[in-house]
Amino acid sequence: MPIGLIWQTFLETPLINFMILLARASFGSYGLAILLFTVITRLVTFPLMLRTLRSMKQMQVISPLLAEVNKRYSDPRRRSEETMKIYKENGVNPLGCLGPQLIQMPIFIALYATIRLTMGNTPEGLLALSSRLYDFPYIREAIPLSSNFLFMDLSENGTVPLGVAVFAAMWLQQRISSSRTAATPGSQQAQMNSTMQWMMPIFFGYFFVVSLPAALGLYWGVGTVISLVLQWAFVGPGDFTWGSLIPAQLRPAAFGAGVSNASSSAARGGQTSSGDSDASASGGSQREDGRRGGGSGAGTAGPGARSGRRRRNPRG
Amino acid sequence: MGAAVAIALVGTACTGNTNPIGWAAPVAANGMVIVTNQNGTISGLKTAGADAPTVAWTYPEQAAASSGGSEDFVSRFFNFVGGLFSGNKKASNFSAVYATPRVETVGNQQRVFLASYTGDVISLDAATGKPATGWPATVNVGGRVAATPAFDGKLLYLGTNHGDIRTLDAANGSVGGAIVGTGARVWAEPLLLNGTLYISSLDHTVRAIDPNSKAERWKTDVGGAVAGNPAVMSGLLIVPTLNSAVVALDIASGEQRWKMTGDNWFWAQPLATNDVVYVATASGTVYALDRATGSEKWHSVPLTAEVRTAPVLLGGSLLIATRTGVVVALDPATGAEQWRKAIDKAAFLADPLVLDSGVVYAAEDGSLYRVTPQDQGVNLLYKRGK
Repeated sequence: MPIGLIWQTFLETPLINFMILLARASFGSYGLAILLFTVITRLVTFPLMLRTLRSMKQMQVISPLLAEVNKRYSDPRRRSEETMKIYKENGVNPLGCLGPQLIQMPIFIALYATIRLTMGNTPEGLLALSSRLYDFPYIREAIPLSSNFLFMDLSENGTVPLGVAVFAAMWLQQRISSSRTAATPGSQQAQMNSTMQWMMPIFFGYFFVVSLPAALGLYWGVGTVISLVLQWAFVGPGDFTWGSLIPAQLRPAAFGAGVSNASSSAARGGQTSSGDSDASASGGSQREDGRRGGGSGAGTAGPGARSGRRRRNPRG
Repeated sequence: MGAAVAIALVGTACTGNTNPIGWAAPVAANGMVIVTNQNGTISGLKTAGADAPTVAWTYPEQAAASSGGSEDFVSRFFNFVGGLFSGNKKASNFSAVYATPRVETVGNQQRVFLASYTGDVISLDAATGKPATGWPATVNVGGRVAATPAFDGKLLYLGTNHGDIRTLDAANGSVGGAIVGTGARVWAEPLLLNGTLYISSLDHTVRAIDPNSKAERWKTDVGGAVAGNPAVMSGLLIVPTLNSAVVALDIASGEQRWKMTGDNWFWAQPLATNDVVYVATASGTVYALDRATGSEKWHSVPLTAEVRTAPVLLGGSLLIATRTGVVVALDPATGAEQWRKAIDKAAFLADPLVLDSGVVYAAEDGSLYRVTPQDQGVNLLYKRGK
């Protein structure tokens, strides 16, 4: 059986029929169906996501130790050995976060094909759908689906507000994620984090506005927001504070001096992409703080934010 | 992860059709066959019997030299990547045309009216291919057009993806108001018969409208979206639906006379004779139905390929062409297969044109094939760029 046929038979075609079923069950709204589908996929992949989040939390805990190893050993082989030792001792799988992301990839690609077919925004597209529907009147009668949802035509590209929303959600996610890495300021990793924080959201935002149907942007945007909420709930926001979103010039007017300092530090963290890395570079006491902060900030957003302030205070 | 998804997206996008392609049927006018080309041009071909036609004119002339041809994976990849920066805009607004060109006499001039999927409409002199006098270069009706327009001698009636029917003055191209709003895409040709406009749309309904007063004479829910053109015969409007049913309506009252359910969607226009209605499904099964009752006389073995082209009766054969490039001749009395020819890389979606003793099929890549049932001949007549 050719791989393309396997892909179609076992993933794409079931997904097409499932999406039509969801749309019919959602009062004929394809937008609602996509929202439901996003929630369902997040629920299904939640155990893996939880493992990833725990892995992230553990990484946050051991990041000072990793920074110490980086500092202490110049021999790459020895450094690698010591790093692996720390991973092993702390039960961290550095590739653990890949699971849910790898699972998402085929879903995303199949959803792309599904949306193009089910929306039927071209006559050829709708005609091609005929051979992919199961022989259930409930599904067949649902065609064509309504492509209107809120202010959008889900079958068309060019939905600027959606692109902006995807950009904002991805930027925030990248910002929070990068605040947990153990990158040294100015290091290649830190530069990469900084680049990724801007490039990926810009790329995706642009992609969803210019080239892809709004339905796919909706899936991606809502999925990102759900991940963000889960990340925040289970690992905390790391070094991120909402105040850091306000430009430095406006902060003294908006907040008191104390908050201003914290916000400025957070902003610096954002610019260098890692508050943790600042802390690790400053010496052993900051690493100790970082370790405590990571541990205490495991459950809620509050302690995570406190850990960031604790690390920043010696500098301020 | 993001980069991986982005690469996957680009890869996926290159394996399927993102843009509309079009399936406008060829039309005959005064010894010429008028065809749309996928490079956004329209050509008038001079035909002389079974000989290969010669190109009499192409509009616009500048674009005629740039021939297309079927795109390979690499071309599609670069086109797609290029599209990322251009919003996937087509090079020409007439690159995708679904509506059959309409040839009508306006004043003393025979004109070709062509409506593209972008909603642009042009009017050309059928003899020379030059823009018709008194008509703007292009007129946009404000919505995507996939249906062949109807014509009442003065006005063109165009169905759009917004679900309305817009009128266009054939003499000067001025756009009138919307006649009716169906709320769903109109992909089936509106029919104008005895002062009534019959509109079938994807909202599962068929409407009969007075085009002058815009009053609705009747409206019938046929139980499924209507994407294919209905056929008219002996007071019946025979409607193919995407609910795997063919529905016959009384043309005067809109009442359902009969309904027949097949094995898949009906998109191809039915062929109605005095006694029999021939219809083909998207699975390639052909049904012969009693015109008066809708009862099945026979059905063929499925061709396992989508059939969107209308069946043709010629020379004792019922000809069917599929999306996979297969032309099949069936016995009209029994449905038994007489012969079949497979044409490599051809995809037939456009309605055929009966010309002299043959049938002309336009393939998706712009090629024209002439099929002669008498000798089971299938010959390439014309290829875009030649």
